[in-house]
Amino acid sequence: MKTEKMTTDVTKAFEAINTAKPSPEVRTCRRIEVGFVVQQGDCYLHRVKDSHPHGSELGTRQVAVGTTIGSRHVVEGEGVSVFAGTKLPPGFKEAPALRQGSLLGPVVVADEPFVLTHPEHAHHRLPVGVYQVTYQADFVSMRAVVD
Amino acid sequence: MKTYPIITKLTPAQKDQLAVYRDEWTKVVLSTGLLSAEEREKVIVAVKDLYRFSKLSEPKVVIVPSPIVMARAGGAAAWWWHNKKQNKGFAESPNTQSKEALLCSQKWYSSAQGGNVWGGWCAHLCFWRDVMGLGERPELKETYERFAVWETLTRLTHWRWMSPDFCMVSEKPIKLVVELRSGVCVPHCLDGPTHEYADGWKIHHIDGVRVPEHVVMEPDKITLEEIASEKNAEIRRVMRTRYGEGRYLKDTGAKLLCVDYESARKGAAPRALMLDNTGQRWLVGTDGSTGRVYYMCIPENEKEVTTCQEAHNLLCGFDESRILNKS
Repeated sequence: MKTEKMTTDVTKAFEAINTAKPSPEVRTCRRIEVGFVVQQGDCYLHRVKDSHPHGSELGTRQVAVGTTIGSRHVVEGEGVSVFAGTKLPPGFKEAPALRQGSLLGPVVVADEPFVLTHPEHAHHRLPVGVYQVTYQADFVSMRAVVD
Repeated sequence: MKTYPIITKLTPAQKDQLAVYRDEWTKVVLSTGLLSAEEREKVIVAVKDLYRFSKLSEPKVVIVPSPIVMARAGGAAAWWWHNKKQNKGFAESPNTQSKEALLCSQKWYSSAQGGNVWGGWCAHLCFWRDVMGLGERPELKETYERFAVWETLTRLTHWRWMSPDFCMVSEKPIKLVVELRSGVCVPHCLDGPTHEYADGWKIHHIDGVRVPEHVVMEPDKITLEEIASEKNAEIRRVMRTRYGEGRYLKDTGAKLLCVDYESARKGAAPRALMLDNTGQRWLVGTDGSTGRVYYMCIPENEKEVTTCQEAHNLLCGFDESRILNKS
């Protein structure tokens, strides 16, 4: 990643951010090793070991909490199930200032390839595996981002 | 009990009906206008049937002009009913009573059902009843007779608030403004309310995000303090946009600490770490697929955060280099 350190040109940086072209096409990931992550907005799917612990099946395919459009991160596929999350992925550092456990989401167990969908973000096509969901932190509310 | 084969595939005729049901029920969800006298009678009968099926005594049915009336009256009624049930009387101090009543009002939806707003469930159930043949199964006859009452209320009315003694049913809005975006109806209006009710109550949305009226109608009245104190990230984003992004940066006297141009990864976008005039650090960037610009707050005690990557690692809890793909 190229990083430029600057001290003054706020306007230039802001213009670059505002004019960045969005890419709405589906992201396809044919292989994902344990420890790697895909990000969809404020929702992260961490590929974890098949033995990663989880709770009981939730009976839903939505992996973010809420009823707003922003929360509709949904896994779609024939062989995909969603379970309660019980443990953050290895190496995950939850900032002490946050309400503990607030970034922990459910566990997705996919026996077949599946798609992580969202009404606004680009979708992700992902391979078979076990995935732990986590959320982005919001240091205003000291919880997971609400949108 | 008779068994039926598991349905694994829809026939072409059944598939054709999906769009019919989607369109029909979308109209129900988006419908507006007040009940006629005849419809009011139907609603009252249906609510009483709903209570009867639930083995509750016949309620008093009140039709109200908007959900806000229901929320306030229902909240107060819930508080009164709770006190009565607990046999607490009203001996608490007025301050405690006010707090409890306010809490009941805020949580009015705990006793509410969505009416036409929850039409999606009805669409699903009606499709299976009418098209997939579940309505013809004798063992489901009674269930569907009861469901017909729910369906009537979904078609005719808006939210309803239910207590053991009485039920308030809200009229639908008289005006509803939505935009169809990628198959999703998004409430959005930049010069007026998206929802307007007969009693004058209005709700405002921008890009599907519910915001206070002045954010839409009088954006000049938005203050930096108000933006900073807003807890919802989407509302904060909309407020900043309405305030004016350039104006926001100028007014906060932002300084640029670091900028990243993530050209190497698909879907990535530039972002910057900024310091506003209060010493607050903000990671400003897009998500790569919606084109929206977000301002993400970095806690003040994280002084070591000086680069965009460090800021992102802090927000997401892990090393950002582990992200294979993002949107």
